[in-house]
Amino acid sequence: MNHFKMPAFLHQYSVSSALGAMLLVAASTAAHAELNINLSGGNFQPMPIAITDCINEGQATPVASVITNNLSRSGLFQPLPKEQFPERIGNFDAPPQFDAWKTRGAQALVTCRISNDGGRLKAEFRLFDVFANQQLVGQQYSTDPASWRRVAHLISDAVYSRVTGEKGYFDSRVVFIDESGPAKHRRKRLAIMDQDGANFKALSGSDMLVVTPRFSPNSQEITYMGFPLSGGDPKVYLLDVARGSREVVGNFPNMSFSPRFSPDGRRIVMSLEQNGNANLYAMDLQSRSMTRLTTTAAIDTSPSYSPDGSQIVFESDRGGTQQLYIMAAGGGGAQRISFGEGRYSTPVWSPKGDYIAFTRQKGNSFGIGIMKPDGSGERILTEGFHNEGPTWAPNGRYLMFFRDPGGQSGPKLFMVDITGRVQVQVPTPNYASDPAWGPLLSETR
Amino acid sequence: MLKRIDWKEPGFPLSIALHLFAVLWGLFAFSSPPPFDAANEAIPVEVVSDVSEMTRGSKKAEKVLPNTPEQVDKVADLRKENDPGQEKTDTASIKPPTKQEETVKDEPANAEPPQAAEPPIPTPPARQEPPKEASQPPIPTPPSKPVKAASAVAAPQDDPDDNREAEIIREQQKKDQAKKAEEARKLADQKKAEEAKAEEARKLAEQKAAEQKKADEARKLAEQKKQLAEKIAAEEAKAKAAHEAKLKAQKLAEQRKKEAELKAKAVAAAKKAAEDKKRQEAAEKAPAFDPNAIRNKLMASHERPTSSGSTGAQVSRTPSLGTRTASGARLSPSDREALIGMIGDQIRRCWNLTVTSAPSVKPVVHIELSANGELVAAPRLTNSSGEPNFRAVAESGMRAIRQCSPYRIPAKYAQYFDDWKNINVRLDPSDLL
Repeated sequence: MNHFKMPAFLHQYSVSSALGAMLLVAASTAAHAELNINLSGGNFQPMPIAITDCINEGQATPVASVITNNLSRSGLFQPLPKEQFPERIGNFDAPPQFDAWKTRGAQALVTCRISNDGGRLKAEFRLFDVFANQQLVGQQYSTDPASWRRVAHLISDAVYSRVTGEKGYFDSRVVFIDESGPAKHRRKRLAIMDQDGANFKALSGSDMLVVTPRFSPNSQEITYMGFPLSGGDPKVYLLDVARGSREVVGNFPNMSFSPRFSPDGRRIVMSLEQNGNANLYAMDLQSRSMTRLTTTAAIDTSPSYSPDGSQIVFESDRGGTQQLYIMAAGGGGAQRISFGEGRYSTPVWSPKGDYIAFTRQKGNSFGIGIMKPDGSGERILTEGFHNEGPTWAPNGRYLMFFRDPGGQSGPKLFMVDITGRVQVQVPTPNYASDPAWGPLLSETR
Repeated sequence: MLKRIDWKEPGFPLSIALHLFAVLWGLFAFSSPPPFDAANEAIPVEVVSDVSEMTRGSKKAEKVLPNTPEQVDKVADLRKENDPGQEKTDTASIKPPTKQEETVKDEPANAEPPQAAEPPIPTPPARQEPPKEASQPPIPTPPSKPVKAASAVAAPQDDPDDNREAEIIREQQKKDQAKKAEEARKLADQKKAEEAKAEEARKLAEQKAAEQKKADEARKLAEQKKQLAEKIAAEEAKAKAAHEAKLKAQKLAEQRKKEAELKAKAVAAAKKAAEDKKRQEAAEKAPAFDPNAIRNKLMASHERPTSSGSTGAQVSRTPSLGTRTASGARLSPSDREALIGMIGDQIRRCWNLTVTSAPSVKPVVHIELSANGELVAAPRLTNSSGEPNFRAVAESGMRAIRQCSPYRIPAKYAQYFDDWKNINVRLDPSDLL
C-alpha cells in the first residue's frame, strides 16, 4: 500500500552511476597533471629525405640515383634535390652535420659507400633520423658487381621498411605482356623486368599469344595461358624464368584459363571450360592430380587464394552478373562479397591478406579497387577507360595494373598505392598489359 | 439492543469484523510508516573546479597574479591622511594608454565633452588660446571611449548610417566649438577693454587725490602764516596744531583715496557682473535641446559606474583571477582545450605519415616543454606494441614533435606552465584513409 521500495535494478544503477561519477571526477583530477593531446589525422605527405651520392672507392655505380628513384616513386618519400644539400659527405664513418640538414628540412638522410672487396662489390649504407641526431639503420651487402642494381633495391627496401614499418617491394620483378606493332597487328609476347622498368627481357617468342601470366609467390616460376598461333586450344603453361624451361601444365580436352598459384606454390587453381560453362579446378603440381572445386552451370573464373591458402576468391555470373565470391580452398558453398553497382571481376587476394583487389566495370568506366575479404570497405583507387588486371606488390601496399586508352594507342602499366594517393606510370619499352608482380627476389627459392 | 449473532447469515458480523480489522490495520500502518531509504538515491555530482580560487579572485581578471592582490577601488577613509601615494595612484590608474591619448589628440571633436557639461572659460582669459581649450578637457577621458572611436575608424564594416551620424555629430561639435571660441575671444577683448578703463579710472582717482593734497598743503601754509603773524609767542602750541592739522589732512587724503579705490572696485565688480550676465546669456543662447549633445554625452559617459568600491590600505586596480596557492586546476577546461588544439595543430603540421595503410596502432609519446615552448628532453615513447608499423608511426610522430619545436604558446598560458609542461601525445593514424 505504501512501502515504496526502489526496484533492485534501479538501486544497482544508481550505485553504479554514482561510482561512475566518482571515477570520472578522479580521472579528471588525475588528468590535470599533464596535457593529453590526441593527435589524429596527420598529413599524407611524403617524407623529405636526402640521399647523398655514394662514396665510391673503386666502383663507380649510380646506386644513389636508383635508390632516389625507388623512394620517390613509392610516393612516401620526397628526395631533396642535390643542389640543396648543405654538405658533401666525405667520410662515411663520421656523423653528418645534422643541424645543417635540419635547415634544409630533410627528416632522413641516407649515406652510402661502394667499395671493391676482392673483386666483389661491397655496398654499405646508413639511414639517419636527422631531427633525432641518430642512425636508424646501417647495413652492408657484398655481391657480384653486375648486381649493383639489386643492391640499390635492397638498400631501398631497407630504408622503406625501417621508415614505414612495412616490408619493402623494390627488390622484385614484374612479368607482363609486351605489346608492339600497330593496333591491328599487335605483337604480344611475355616479358620480364625489374619493378622500376629496368632489366627488360622478353621471355617468349612470337609464336604464341600469351595472356594472364602469374608469378609463383615463392619461386621464379610463371604460369600463363598461351594460344599457339599455329592453332589448337589455349593451354596453361608453366615457365621457369631462371632456367628458361617451359611446360604445359595440363592437357585437357577443353580450354583452360586464368591460372594462379597457391601461396605455397604447390598447386595451381584455374578454370576449365565444359559445355559453355566454366568451373574451378585445383591441380597439384607434383602429382598433376585435379580437384574440382565448383559445380555450377555458370562461368566461375579468376580464382585467387588467400595468403594462408584456406580460401579462394573468384568471380562468377551465377547470380546473373559477374560478382565476387569466396569459398573454402577445398570447394563447397560460396559466399558473395561484392554488392556494389556494376560488374566485378579479376579478384586478387593481397599477400598481406587484408584486401582483395578487383576490377569494377560500371558502364564504360573501369575502376581498380580494393575491398576487405568480407566485402566491406570497398574503395576505388582509380577509375576511367580502361583499367584492368590488378596485381599486388609483394608487400601488399601497392597495385600494378594496365590502362588502355583505346584507339591507335596501346596499354601502359601503372602503379597505385592502396590509398589511391600515389599513382605513377611504370616505364616499359613498348606498350604493356597484364602485369604480374613477383615476390621479393630475396624471398624466393 | 444487540441481536444474537446468527451464524447462518454471516454477512453482517463478517462485515463488522472486516471493517474493524481494516480500521485497526490502517491506524497501525499509518501511525508508523516505514522511513524512506534515502541512501539509495543517486546524487548528481557536479564538478566544481575550485572554490577557493573563485572566492579569492575576480572573475573579470585575466590571470592569476603572483601575490594575489585583492581589488581595492579606494583607500579606506581612516587611513586617508597616512597615504601620501593615493593621489598618485589615482591619476596613474585613470591615465589611459598613450595610444588612446594619441587618439584623443587626433580627434579632439570626439574627445570634446558636451558643451553643457562645464563652462570651459578659464580665469586668465586674455592669454587663453582657443585651440588649447580642446586639449584641456577638464573631464578625465574615459578610457573606453577613444578605443571606440579608434575602432570605428579602423572598421569600415560599421553601419554607414552610423558613420554619417558620427560625421554630422562631429561637424556639429566643430561648429559649436568654433562658436564657443569666437565668443570666448569676444569676451576676452571686452574684458581687456574694461580692464583698461578701470586702470584709467584708478589713475584719475589718484591724480585727484594728489591735487587735493596739494590744495590742503597750500591752505595749511596760509593758516600757518596767519597764525605766525597773529600769535608769534605760542610757537609750540601752534606747531602742535599745525601737526594735528597735517595729520588730519593726511587722513582725509587717505580716506579719499580709499573711496576712489572702492569706487573703482565697485566699477570693476559691476563690470564683472555684466560679464557674468553676458556669459549666462551666451549659455542661454545655446540650443536648449540638442539631441546631438545628449548623444555625445551618452557616448562620452562610458565611465565605470561609480560605486563606493572596496577599500583597503592601497589602491589596487589589478585584481587576481585567483590565488596561486589554490589546489585546483588553474587552467580552465576551455583554455585547456584551446591549448591542446594549438599544440596539436602545430605537431600535426609537421606530422608526415609515411604509411600506406591506416594502422590501428596508437603510440603515446611523452614530451616535456620549457616555458618558452622548447623541448626539454627527447620525446619518449610510453607504450609499446608488436605491430610492425607501431614503431614507424611512433617515430613519425616523434620526428614531427622534434621538427615543430619550439612550440608557440600564447603568453597568457605562461602562468599555467605547470599545467602544460608535461604533454602526452597520442598518435592516432586510424583515420588516415
